[in-house]
Amino acid sequence: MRGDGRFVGAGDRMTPESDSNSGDAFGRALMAEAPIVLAVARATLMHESDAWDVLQTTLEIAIKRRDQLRNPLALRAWLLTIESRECFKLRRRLKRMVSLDDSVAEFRFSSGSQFDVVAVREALDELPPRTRQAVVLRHLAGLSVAEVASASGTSVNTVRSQLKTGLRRLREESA
Amino acid sequence: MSSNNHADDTFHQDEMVPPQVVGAFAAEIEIARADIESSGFQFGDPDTAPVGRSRQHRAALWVSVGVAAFAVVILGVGVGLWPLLPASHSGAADRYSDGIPTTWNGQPVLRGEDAIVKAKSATDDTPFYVGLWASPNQAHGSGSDQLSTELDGTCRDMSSVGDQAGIPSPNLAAAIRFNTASMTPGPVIVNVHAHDAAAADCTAGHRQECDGVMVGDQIVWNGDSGTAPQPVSPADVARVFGVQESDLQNLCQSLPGTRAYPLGDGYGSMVMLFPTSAAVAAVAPQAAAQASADGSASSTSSGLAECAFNSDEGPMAVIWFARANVLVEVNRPAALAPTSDSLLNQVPQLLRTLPDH
Repeated sequence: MRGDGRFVGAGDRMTPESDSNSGDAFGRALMAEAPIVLAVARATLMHESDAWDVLQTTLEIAIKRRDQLRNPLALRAWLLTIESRECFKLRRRLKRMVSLDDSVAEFRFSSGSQFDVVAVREALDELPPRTRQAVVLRHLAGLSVAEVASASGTSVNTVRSQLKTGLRRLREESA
Repeated sequence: MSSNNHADDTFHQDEMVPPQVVGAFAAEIEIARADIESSGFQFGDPDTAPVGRSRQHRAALWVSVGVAAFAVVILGVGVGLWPLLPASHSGAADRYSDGIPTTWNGQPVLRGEDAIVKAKSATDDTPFYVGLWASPNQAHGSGSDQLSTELDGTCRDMSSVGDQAGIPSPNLAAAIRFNTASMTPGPVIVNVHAHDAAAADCTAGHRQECDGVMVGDQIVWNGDSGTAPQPVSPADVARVFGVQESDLQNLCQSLPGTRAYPLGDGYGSMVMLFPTSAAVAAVAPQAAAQASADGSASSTSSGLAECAFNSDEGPMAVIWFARANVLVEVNRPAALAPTSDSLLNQVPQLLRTLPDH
């Protein structure tokens, strides 16, 4: 990345190169963040195919709005802000739809599934959506509290309260 | 990227995250990463991602109002995005989520219990492929020439094999033998067979068990760029800790696919490079949980049994450091003051120079 905040270069190392390479670098940067975006979408929506849907939409929007990314160092927070809005819109849209399937809690468990993934997903599912979103953005995606607040469109104090509540319930569940 | 520090937080007590949640979140990311790679997912290409209800709903609406032409525009946008995308992993669609190929030479590569069941139900020595994670063994994992001795004795199992990266599988360890002398820690595909001829030498009481053991003929694959340790690579460890990439030491722990490099301090301290961050969180949850606070905090307990190390300087203390897929074990005589130890002071700084995602 360059000091002026534009993605440039080819290969894994960002180096000053011509602008013609900036698309490649931005695409690579997006794909590097894609696992985080997908994991957050899964934990937030608790629906496998909807999570992929949101991942796809988030990356499409990021491509279209790439000029709005002021600080490339904040790419993840920027992507997750887009994703949070898409998740919110999706949840709102689904409320209006009559679902013909019962796969809201559907997950595709890959052969790599392990540890307490299932138990933690179940515990997360018990949290209110906003609280779950705060916990996931903070502790799965590694955003700061301020970034979580910005992504969620709420205040820092609200996020802190949500995190306190969410973590307390997760601790109780895992005790 | 966004910071992982907690500089803007003032309520650490309330932020105590249960270790199993830390491990599960790390696993979620690794699972997502593997799923994206194995799916060949390309954004802008609707054929490479599962389609959610939202898109199904929208698609139905578009068709119903006769705007199919819009789809052509969308497709055009998708094609236009292609130059921005990285090349997909070669053959990624034919891999398990952890990167091990699902087929080899046109034959299925079996995993874990499937392979064990296949061997136990075999009626002859027809070979098949099994995929797993492994590290070189010190004493076991011999070829079929020692099969009967090892099966009939008490020293039966291989020590560093697992169906998941970095995590030992006792069932698999008891069910397979292959020569690991020349392998690199990581994933392997082994050509194996049951009903090895050496099983005839087993005692009657063990004969059926011996017949069901998978005996390796050859390691046909030992990982590639798609299964290399990440986010920290062997080259990163060599650069930061000044160790040789080839200077691997055997681990006393059974951590399949994990590389260990001696730090040469005379106390057996080492830096361990796991295949994934999730593996560290699984086998050393306490150290990983500590590390999640600032990226490389130390812990006197890792959740992982430390190696016993004999010293003439009295009881030893072990201090653990973790960052991403790296775990550092520093052994010191308990009587030494940690604050005066240069290695203990340096390790956190060195770790912070490593990538964490």
